[in-house]
Amino acid sequence: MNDKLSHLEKAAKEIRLTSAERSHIKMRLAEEVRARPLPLRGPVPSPHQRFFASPIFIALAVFLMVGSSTAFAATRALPGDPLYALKTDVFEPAEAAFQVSPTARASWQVHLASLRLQEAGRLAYAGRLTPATQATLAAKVAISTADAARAVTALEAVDPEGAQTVAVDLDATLLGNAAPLATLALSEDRTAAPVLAAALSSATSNESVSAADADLGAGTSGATQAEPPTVVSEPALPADTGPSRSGDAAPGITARPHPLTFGATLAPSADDATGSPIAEPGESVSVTGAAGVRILSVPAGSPEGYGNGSEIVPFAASTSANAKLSGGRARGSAMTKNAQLHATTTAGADFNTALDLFSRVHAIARGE
Amino acid sequence: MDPREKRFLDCYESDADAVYRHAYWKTHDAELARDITQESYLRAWNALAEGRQIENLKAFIFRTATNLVIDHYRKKKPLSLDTLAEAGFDPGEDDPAVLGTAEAREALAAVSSLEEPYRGTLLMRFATGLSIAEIAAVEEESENAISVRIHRGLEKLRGILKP
Repeated sequence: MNDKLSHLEKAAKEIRLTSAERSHIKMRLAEEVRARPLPLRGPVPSPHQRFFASPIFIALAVFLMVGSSTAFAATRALPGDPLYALKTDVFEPAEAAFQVSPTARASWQVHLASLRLQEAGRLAYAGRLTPATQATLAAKVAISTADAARAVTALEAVDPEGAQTVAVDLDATLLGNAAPLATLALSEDRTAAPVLAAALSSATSNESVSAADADLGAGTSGATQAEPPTVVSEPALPADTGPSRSGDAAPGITARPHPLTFGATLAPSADDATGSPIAEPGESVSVTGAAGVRILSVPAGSPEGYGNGSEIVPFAASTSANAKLSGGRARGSAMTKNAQLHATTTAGADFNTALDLFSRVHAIARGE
Repeated sequence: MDPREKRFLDCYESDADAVYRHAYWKTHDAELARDITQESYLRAWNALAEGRQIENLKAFIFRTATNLVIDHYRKKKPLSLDTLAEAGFDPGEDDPAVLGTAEAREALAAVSSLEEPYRGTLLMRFATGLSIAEIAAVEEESENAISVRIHRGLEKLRGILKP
């Protein structure tokens, strides 16, 4: 068959215009070409030039420019900004999807917790920490820190070494952001408070005591200086979170004014308790004095670990303690049913669970 | 001379015979095929002169030639296109192809007896001498589709030529 086809191909080539016909047609074409010249135009654009000038490319370029600048702006967004929801509900979940291994997922949770705490710090510094943003962030931090703690404990089963690394990171994150954490723990979102308090007490019960703790410790111990009811704190900067800086080591340091004025909702110092409108006589509070402040102040030499007596417990000791800490706003009103539901489902942990989680993280961080 | 004019005339020099063959296999009329060849090039030039963008000039000219053949038969006989195709592709007794060998005539008859689209595609491939890429451009199909069509056409041809 192929042989016959090649015969056909060969014979077909004989079918062509005669040279006279070719010349005739060519002359006719040349006439037409002269009679109807092509419209003037610039050089023919190359395929590349055509691509760059194509509507698809332009649309793509505009999309990428707008998209990337929006994405960049979104990464800087703070609660209350229009792009904040984009950041937390779109970009972060998208990035989370790329965290495949359990270690990466745990690290990511720690990173998220760190981001939320940094946002709280930035908001406070910018003077934009309203009750609304405070509550928003408190809930988010509660969820992310509890998730991070859970991820660490889950990771320990498969990768103890990795878990320890991540646990140390979480520990450092919480400790390094103790001030914003405390601020958020005092938010109106009472459901988040126990979790945050647990995270805070867990972090600050470490041997390392942040500079903020030291300052506050000094501030409370020197409360006889008649500090105003507003106790202010310096934010715990990572650089200041050196080990073994105790309150005793800095007796002369007093609390310095700083935008992170969470003291406004705190009870005054123990010495002022009688004048406090919060610590009402007869109110059954298991601790006395500046409960909220003491959360941050771990006196030197105090036994390490969380919940060591009256020093750290107050946030969770009772609802009255909560009431006390919230400056009376939530006094006597324990969590509503919805709030409790929220605490156990959304935040993912009630206080005890959170405390268990964070103590477990500590144990992991210390390599126990 | 405008380089575009030169390109156009060069295209005529290199492809005119193929266009002529293309028209010839569809009409089996040497004179008509010559007229269709000339008209195809004139129309292509007019399209360019009107500012129309033509991506593939050769494919454009082949498609114009095909359309002119169809127009010719449409004017000549009020028949359906299918009937026209059936009538148009039968090589006559006075076909110049009979000048070739007996094998060539047998192959041409076998290809011409195939149904469309195998007939037109195999004629373009083996009688007109277009490459697969060129046929794909003329037919506005993918090269893969044309390859498959040629493969299947050859299978059918094998059934006809074997006995």
